[in-house]
Amino acid sequence: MKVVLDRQPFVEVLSNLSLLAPSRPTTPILGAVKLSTDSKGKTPYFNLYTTDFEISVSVKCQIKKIMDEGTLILPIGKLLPILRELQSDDVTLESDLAVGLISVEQESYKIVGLSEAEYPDQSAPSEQTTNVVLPKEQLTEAIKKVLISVSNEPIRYCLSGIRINITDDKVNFISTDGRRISLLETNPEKKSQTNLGTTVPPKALQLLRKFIQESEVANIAISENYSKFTSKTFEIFARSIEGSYPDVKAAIPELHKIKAELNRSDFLSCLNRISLVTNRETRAVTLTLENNKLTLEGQEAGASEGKAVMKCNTLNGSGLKIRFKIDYLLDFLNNSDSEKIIVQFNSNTEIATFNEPDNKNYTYLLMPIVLRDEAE
Amino acid sequence: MNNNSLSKILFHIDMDAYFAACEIASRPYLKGKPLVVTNHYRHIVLTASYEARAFGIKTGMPLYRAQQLCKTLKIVFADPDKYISTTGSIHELLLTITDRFEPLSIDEVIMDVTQVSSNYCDAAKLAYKIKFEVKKQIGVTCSIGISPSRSISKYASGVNKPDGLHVISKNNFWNELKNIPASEIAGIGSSTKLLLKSVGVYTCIDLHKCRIEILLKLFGQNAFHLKSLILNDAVKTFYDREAAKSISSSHTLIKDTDNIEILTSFLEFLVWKVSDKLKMEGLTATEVSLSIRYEDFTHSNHSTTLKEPVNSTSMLYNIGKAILSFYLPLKKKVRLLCFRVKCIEPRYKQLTFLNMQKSSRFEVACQKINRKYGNFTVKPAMVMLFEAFGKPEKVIPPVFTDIYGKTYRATR
Repeated sequence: MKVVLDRQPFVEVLSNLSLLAPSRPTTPILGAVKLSTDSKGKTPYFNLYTTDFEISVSVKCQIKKIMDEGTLILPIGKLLPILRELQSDDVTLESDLAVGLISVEQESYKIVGLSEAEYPDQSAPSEQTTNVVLPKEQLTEAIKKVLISVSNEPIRYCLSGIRINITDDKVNFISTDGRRISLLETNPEKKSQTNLGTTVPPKALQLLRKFIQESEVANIAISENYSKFTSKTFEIFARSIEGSYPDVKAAIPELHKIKAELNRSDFLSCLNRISLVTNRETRAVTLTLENNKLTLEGQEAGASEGKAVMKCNTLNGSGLKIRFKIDYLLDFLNNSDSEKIIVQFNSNTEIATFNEPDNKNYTYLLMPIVLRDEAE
Repeated sequence: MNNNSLSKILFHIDMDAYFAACEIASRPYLKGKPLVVTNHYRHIVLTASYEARAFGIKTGMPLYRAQQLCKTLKIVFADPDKYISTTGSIHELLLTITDRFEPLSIDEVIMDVTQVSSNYCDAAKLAYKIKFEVKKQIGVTCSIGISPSRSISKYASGVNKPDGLHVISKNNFWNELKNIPASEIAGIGSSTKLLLKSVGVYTCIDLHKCRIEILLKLFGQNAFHLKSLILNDAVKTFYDREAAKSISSSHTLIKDTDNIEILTSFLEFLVWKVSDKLKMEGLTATEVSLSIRYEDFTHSNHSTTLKEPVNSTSMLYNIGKAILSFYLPLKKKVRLLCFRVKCIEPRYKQLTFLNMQKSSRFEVACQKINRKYGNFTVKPAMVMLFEAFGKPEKVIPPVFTDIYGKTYRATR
């Protein structure tokens, strides 16, 4: 194999793929990328394929010229830093059996890779799937908003994934770590015939978010054990996370006693300031909602404390003092694009609901913090 | 004699054939049978049940000799964790009465009940109550000696063994001392006994009356200790415990192993212990660490800080397993596992909408059994198999299966 490639876009694709490469691979297959030439179309392409045994990604990257067709499997951990450091835009990459030779003008680098026989093949399992097509904007927004609530603790493993439920005319993206829930409904362009749900590793959706920028739509195919995201330029294939995902919809209250509308940027800036004085371990902020007034308080006993009062529009009920982990509030506000937000409470020990008035499909639910005496 | 110094009422509570009793409590089918508890190397008798003692079997006797004396002898391996845990349960029970007691050993306690019993009649009633509760809740019997002195209480507890009660009250204290040989007092061994005999000290009353100058000549500075033995009534408070900063549990394996299944089972076993302690103390873990000592005595430690404090057994077990995976693939055999949590009493509690902290019915049932019959009457099957047979020894390197079902073994 011998090709000439444009360094910058190739480095970008490799950087995205490096998300799957562990820093200390336990087997050479992990962290290796398979590069195959594809000259069937008008423009020459590299097909890049990598896997971490849970997720596999196949992505097309345009290259300048193919001199010799072929396949090369190289470790991303070696290939990417070398390409990043090179100055020239045109890079020649050629293979000598399993050895890759990178050359630009006066420089050349050799990297020992793997033979094709050592690398897993790319044949997809044949399982009945449910398919929907989602536009890029909806998909990007959904991933951005649900990624924040994914659990990163090995407590209940299924919570470390994002639940995708495909129903008749909706695709629901759900994530929770037990303390908060992100729930977003999207309307697919092409509707599904059957209802199905699966739990997808967040890395697969992070990759999807990166690669979908080049496409308009993505096809989502899910089965009980797998999920596949495809467009013209990429294919992401992920094994589902096992375990029964909790029924988060059961946690959503039907009625709320207290409802208020807040200016998102005011609330965010107040919280950012209060976060500077809150306890580093508990990170608790106290919100007191009175008539058209929201008071935010944070303190670290004997070290610092702060209080901020902001205007709000109390729509229903008032007079509540509730505590939240400030980081969970900041996560929601930082990932929201809305000018206003609607907050709804029942009591200081029950789940609170946060919505964007202009996006009824998105709901963020957050459990409060209680003092030990209150909890008992 | 002056009775003013005999103002206290002290209990000496001694468990009867303790290790054997613990084993019988957790395995009722052994009740009434001659039983010895032995060490894992099958060398000596650690404890013999009263049925075995009837055959002349004694603590410290070689096991083969015990088997010669009793052909139907049942042999049980010692389970130190179980005995320690049972002792903890007994201490908890005693703490409901008073905290003025000192554990003297794993199966002995000296307790000051002066504040809870106004006279020896009340004290005897209380002693019966303790004996009843220990038998009911823990499943073992104990003998109690009551007197105004530590050493005489200890002697008294041995008078009516097993399941006995003996009272030496303030009023007949001095009379009783006349009949108690000095050598019956804990701390007076055979050589001390001979020296005491040489100066005419045979009984406790002789020892009490003996002039300190005589004893000083024989025993030097130890004379003061000997002299104070009879009337010593000082009992410390059980625990002036500070809030626990960390709770740990470790286990030295009977045989070094690199079998992941066995190690995982032992990890589960340790997590149960730690989680149980956390729940009893009302604490939650904020940091979890797992230390491993290898066969060559080198050791390694990995820890993780938790976002939210936890005390649930299943959560701690999952975290423990995740930490254990850092050690894989194992290069050496493991000798010891130690599971440790840094803990706090949380003032702020983050609520969850999932019942993530709730113990499963299985966990609750295991806790109840283990608290009653000792840790760990219920333990992972793999742990029991390993303890019994020391095998399997097959090394299982981690295997990865790719998304297409093809498997790969780790090379590192």
